[in-house]
Amino acid sequence: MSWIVLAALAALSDAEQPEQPAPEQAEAAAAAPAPDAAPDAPADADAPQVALREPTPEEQKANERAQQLVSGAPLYNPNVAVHIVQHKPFADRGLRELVVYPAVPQANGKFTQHFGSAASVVYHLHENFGLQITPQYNWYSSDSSFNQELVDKVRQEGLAASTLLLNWGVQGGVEVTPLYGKFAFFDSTLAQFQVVLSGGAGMGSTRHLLRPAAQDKPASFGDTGNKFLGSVGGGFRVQMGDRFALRLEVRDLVYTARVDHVNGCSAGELRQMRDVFDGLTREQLDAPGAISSQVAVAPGCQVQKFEGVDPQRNESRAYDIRQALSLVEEPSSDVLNNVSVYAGFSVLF
Amino acid sequence: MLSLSVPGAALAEDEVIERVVVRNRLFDVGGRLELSPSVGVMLMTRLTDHYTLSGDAAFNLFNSLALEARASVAYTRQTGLARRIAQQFLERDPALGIERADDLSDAWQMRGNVLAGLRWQPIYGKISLLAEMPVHFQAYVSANGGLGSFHRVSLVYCRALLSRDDGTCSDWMTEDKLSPVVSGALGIRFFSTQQGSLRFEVRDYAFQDSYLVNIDRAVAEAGGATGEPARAGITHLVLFDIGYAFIF
Repeated sequence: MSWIVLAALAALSDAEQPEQPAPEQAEAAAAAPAPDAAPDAPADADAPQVALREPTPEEQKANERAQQLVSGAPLYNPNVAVHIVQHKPFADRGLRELVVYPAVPQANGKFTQHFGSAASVVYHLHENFGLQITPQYNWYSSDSSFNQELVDKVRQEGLAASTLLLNWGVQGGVEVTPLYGKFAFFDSTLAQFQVVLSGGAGMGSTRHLLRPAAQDKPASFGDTGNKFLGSVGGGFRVQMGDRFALRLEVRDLVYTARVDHVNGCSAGELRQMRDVFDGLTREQLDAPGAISSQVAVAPGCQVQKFEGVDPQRNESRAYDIRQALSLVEEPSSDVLNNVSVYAGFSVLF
Repeated sequence: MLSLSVPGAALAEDEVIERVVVRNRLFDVGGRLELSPSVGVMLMTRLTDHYTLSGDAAFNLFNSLALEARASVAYTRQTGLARRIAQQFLERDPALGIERADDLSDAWQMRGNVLAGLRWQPIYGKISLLAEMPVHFQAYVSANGGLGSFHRVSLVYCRALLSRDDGTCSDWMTEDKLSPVVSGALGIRFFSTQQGSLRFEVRDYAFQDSYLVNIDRAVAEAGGATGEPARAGITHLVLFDIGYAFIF
């Protein structure tokens, strides 16, 4: 760990190398006649006389200090410019890194807002290259306050595809650390850091808000299926000792959003359910199998999610049918960018 | 060039090298004045969009603390989303639907501002972009207060309906005001020479929002006065700024 490479540049002391002439002296020397132009002139006739003297104790001490080597380099020699190429004090190659991101808030929530947590396992194949896999769970995902304001005030909202919510996602890929640096906080605390770039691909589960929360009733959501995820990101990793690090990253989860099924049911199947719903009384709606017994749907359509009583809202789930149908009657698609800040810490082992 | 490889250097010697490397600031800004032009764009737009041109004068009391004054002018506009919201809302006949409406929040456009405050820059470091090109940088946070000039175009208060079918209005209600602004920024600057550095920062401008609620649309479209002030919150405009600081 303590191997250090030192390179000394232009590093010869007075005693080892004659001084270069000053520019004025060089010009004067160039203007003066060459020695062979005046061979009879007395050599050194006008040369100044130099008296040699013993160095003072202070000069002797300074000279000894200048010759002192630090890790093999004359670091204290004022005539030596030492360029230090220092090995990183912490090597990553061959190590595994477990990263926990307790807080992952969405930073670009226009129509949606997500808060979640994530973890990541990185295997550092080389010093600057690793493989990573990152699962993430959003423990809060709902419409943004902006979207709710549009609904409340002007009866408008973002397109279904633009307001798709991400429940969870898993993506794997690579991580590179092309830049390494260090900084001092108030000139007293030293820290090493790396710039981290990551990219990956994976899958994510999505849902859409059907009915917003109202008073003591929580919001209801419909499952809109799994989507392909892409991920790019960048950030910093600050080393804390040889085993721990802090991470602050921004990642953009990109996913294609096309809403054509809700809880696995297509627009045609939802229309059947709506027709049944319109013909039932409130008491009949609460009965188990009130909808599924009267419609013919594909196996993937989860009719049971639209019938029976929702214990949290204390009302029939069938009220979600109309909202679900409105989402898929005019299929919409979008490419969503879910940009989130990943703040966490990691352990290397 | 002399190259040496020394295994097993003593800890004390390593300590000396660490301190020399880190503490030897190549770029001192303490006691120096700097002037920085910069441009800014919004990171995320909702109802308004801003492009700012700013000038920043700062005096570095120390390496880690500076007094700064800042002035900005901005080109602002409503976003396409805001215009579509207003148009589609206007297409709804108040007699058949929403008779009374509340205006939307966060629709003020900041046309300019003058700020003063402090910049705290406790982090100084260097990063190796290429093997032989270390770049020195300073990270900072900034807190400012001042006055801003604002303009607002309502999205629901139409005073002269042009076409219901097309959702067009010839006279949306507009407002102008001067209001206190507070601003915070998080930034980093990379020194290029002793006389300059390239700055990147994320800056948040916060100011008091205001708008009307309970607007009688029929009265408004007839040119009458209607609505009452809302209990509005704080509007935040977050911009990404890039600039160059000339250090004297």
